[in-house]
Amino acid sequence: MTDTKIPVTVLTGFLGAGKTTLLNRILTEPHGKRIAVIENEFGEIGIDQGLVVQSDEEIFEMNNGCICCTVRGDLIRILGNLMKRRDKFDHILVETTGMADPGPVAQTFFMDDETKDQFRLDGIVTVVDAKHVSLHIDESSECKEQIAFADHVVLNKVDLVSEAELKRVEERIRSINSLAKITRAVKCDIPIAEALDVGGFDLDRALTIRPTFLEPEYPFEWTGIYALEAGEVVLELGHEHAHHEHAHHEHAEHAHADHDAHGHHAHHEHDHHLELVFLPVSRADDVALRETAEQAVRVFAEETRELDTKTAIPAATHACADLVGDTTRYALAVPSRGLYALFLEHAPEELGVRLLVNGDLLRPAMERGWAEGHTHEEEVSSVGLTSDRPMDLRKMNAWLSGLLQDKGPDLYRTKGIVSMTGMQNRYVFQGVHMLLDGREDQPWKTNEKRVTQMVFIGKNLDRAALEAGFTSCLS
Amino acid sequence: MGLFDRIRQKAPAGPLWTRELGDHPVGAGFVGDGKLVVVGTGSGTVHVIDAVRGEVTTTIAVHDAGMLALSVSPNGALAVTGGMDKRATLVDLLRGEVVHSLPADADWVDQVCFSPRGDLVAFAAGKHVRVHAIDGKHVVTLGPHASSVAGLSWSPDGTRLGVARYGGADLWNLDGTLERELAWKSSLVSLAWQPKDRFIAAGCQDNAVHFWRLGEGKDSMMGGYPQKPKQLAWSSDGASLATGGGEEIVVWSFRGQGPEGSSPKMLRAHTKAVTTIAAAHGDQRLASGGKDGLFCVWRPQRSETPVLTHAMSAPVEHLAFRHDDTHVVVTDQRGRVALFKLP
Repeated sequence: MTDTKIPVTVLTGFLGAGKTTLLNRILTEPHGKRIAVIENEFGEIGIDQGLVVQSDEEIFEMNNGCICCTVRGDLIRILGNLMKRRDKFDHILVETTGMADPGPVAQTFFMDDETKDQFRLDGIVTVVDAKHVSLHIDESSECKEQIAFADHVVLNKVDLVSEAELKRVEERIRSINSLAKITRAVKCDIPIAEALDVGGFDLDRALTIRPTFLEPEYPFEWTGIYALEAGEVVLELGHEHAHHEHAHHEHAEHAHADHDAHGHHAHHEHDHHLELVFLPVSRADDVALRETAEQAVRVFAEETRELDTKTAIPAATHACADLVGDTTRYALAVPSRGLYALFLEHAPEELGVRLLVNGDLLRPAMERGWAEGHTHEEEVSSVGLTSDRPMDLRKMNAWLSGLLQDKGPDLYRTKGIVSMTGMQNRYVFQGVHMLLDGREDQPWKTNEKRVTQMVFIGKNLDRAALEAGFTSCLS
Repeated sequence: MGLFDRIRQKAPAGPLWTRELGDHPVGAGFVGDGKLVVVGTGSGTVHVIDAVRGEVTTTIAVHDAGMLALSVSPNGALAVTGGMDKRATLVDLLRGEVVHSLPADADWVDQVCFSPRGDLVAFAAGKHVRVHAIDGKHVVTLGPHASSVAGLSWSPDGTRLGVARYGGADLWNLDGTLERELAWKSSLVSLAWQPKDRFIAAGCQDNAVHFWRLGEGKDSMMGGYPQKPKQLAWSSDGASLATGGGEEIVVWSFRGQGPEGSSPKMLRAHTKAVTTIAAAHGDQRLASGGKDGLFCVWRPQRSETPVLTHAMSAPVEHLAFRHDDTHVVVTDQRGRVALFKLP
C-alpha cells in the first residue's frame, strides 16, 4: 500500500527549551524537504521564510463532553486550506505553544475525517531544556504530558549540565516514557532528518529506532537463586547489619536529589513494605532465571496475601512482608530440596532482607537486579507488557475497549504488536487517549519470534491491573 | 436497486467538454448568462473558460501568495476571491480584471460570499468578517468572533449575515449589531440559511446537523451521520435540506411539522464520502460530488437513483448550476473542469 498521506510532525516543548531554534534550523538549512509550518500564535518565525502560517490554538470540545474527542479546530481548517496548495510542500510541521496539551493535536489526526484522510501524524517531537526539565516535570502537568506523548525527546542545552545530571534527567524522562527516543543536543543540533522523519506512529519504525522498545519491566527489582532444603527457611527483614552504611549512602542520594529536583527524584523513601514471590527454578543461570521471571510476573499480578509472621510463605504466592520495628522474621515453606528463585519488590539492601538457616546467613548461588520498572513515583509513567503466548482477538478487544473507556483520559499513548491466535499476520495497534487504531499488519517473518508487546504511557497507571488484563487475554 | 437497474437506467451522459487546469480549484461558477465558466485555483489564478469549446480565454493572476476561495455573484458579472495575502478581491469576469482589492484582518481569507441580491460581499479571515459593497466601499467589520469563522450565510433578504464558529452561530445586522446568538455546544463547520427565512441549519464537527427555527428560536438536532455533515443545500423553495456527512445524501423534509420524528430520504450512489452538494435555482434537482470522483444529478422527489452520473478523475471539489439550471460545471481536486448539459 503506498502512502500518499502527507506526514505531519508536531513540535512541542516549553518556552525557552529551544523549539524556535529547531524550527529556524528546519526552515533555513538544506534538507531537501519542502515544509509548511503551522506556528503557534506567539511564533517568532517570519512569514518570508517559506510557507509559514500562524495560528491561534483553538481547542474544540464536542457536545458529548468527552476530552478524548477534543480536537484542534484551527488545525483542521488550516490543513484543509493547505491542501489547496498541495504542490508547495511535502511535509508539515505543527509548533504548539509551550503550555499545550499534545492530546487535542494528536487526536485531530484520529478524529477528523478530512484530516485523517489526507494527513498522517508522523511523530511528536518534544524539546526539553536539560537544566530545567526536572523542575518543569515537578511543577507542571503539561511538561509531563509533553514528554509522555513524545516519540522523540530532544534533550537540549546539555552543555549546561554535568554528565551525572544528564543521566538522571534521561532516567527520569525514560521513567515517564519508556518508548521515546532521547537525543542529546546543544542548540538543538540534531540531524534535521531525525527531527522530521520520526515514524513514531509507525510501529515498525518505533521498533527499529528503539529495539529495546519493549524491554520488559518487571514488578520486582531483584532476584536471588538459592539452593534450599525442604522445610522452613527464615526470611529476615531488618537494618541490624548494613544499616548504617546504607543509611549514609541513601542520605547522600537524597540530599542530591533534593537539591536538583526538589525532592521528587526517582530515589525516594520506601515504606517498610516488601512484596515477594519465590518459585522453583531449574538451573542457576540467566536463561532459567528469565523464564522463571515470566512466571513470577504472573504471580505478582495476583492479589497479595497479607501474612502474619507465624505462617510460612508457600512457594508461588504473591506475599507481602512488613518490617515492623528493627527486625521482622518470616518463614518460607520450601516444599522439596532444590533451587529456588526469590523475587523481591525492592533490592534486598533497602529493607535488609536475608535468608537464614539455623541462624546462618544463606548466600544466593546467583543474583541479579532488574530495571526499576515500578518504583519511580512519577505520576506519569509507562507500563510495558510482553508475552510469547498468543492473544485471543475477542478477549483483547473486549479488554482494551473497556480499559480505554474507563481510563482513556489518563492514557496518553498506547502501542502494541500482537501475536494473535489463528492469525498469520502481526496485529498492530496504537492509540491516543480513548482512540485506538488497530489492524492486521505484515506476516510474521519465518525466523521472527512471535512475541506480543504492549506499552501504555499515562497517568496513574495501575500496573497490576494492566498485567492482569493482559494475562487474561492470552490464549 | 440492483446493478442491472443502475446500468439500464441511463447510460452515463458524458460532459460537453473537460479541461485540465493542473491546479487545485478553490471555486467555480458561470459568468454572465452562462457563455463562460469561471474557476479559481490555489496558485491564485482566475481562469475564464469558453462554455462552448471549453477553452481558457482569460487568466487573471489575483493572489501571488495563493488563493483559498472564490464565489461568483448571482448575476455572474463578478467574482469575490479570498487570498493567502490578507486580501479579498473583486474581479470583473467579463473584462477580466481585478476591480477592487480589499484588506482583511488575518493572513488567510478562506470564506467569501455574495449577498442574495449581489450588492454586497462578505469575507472572513480568522475571527473577523468584513462586508463591502461591490463598489468596494466598506460596510461593516464583524468580530472578533469566539473562534475562527467556519461558515457564512446571508439571510434571503440580504439584511443579515450568519457566521458559524465554535460554540454556535452569530446573526449580525449590517449596522454591526448582533441580532441574535444561536448557541450550541459544538464546533459548527458550515451554515445554511433557508430561502424562506424560517430556519437556519449548521453542520457540526461531531457528526450532526443542528438547526434553529428562527421564529420561535427552538433548536433541534439530526444525528447519526458517519462523518461531519459539512455539505448543506436547501432546495430553492426551502422545503427540504440535503446533507452530506457520509456516502449517502440525506434529504430532510421541512414541510409541515418539520423533520423532527420523520425519516429522511436517502440517496445512494457514492461509494466514498460526499464532498459537495448543490441545489438547482428553480426546482428540486440536486447535484452531488464525492471523494470517489463521482458526480451525480438527482431528482429526489421522483427517484432515489441519479438521473446522471459521471466519473471525474479525482475527488469532486465544486458544483454549480447555471442560472437557468440547464448546465452544471464540475471541478475535481486534480484541476479537471467539466461542463454537463442536464437531461
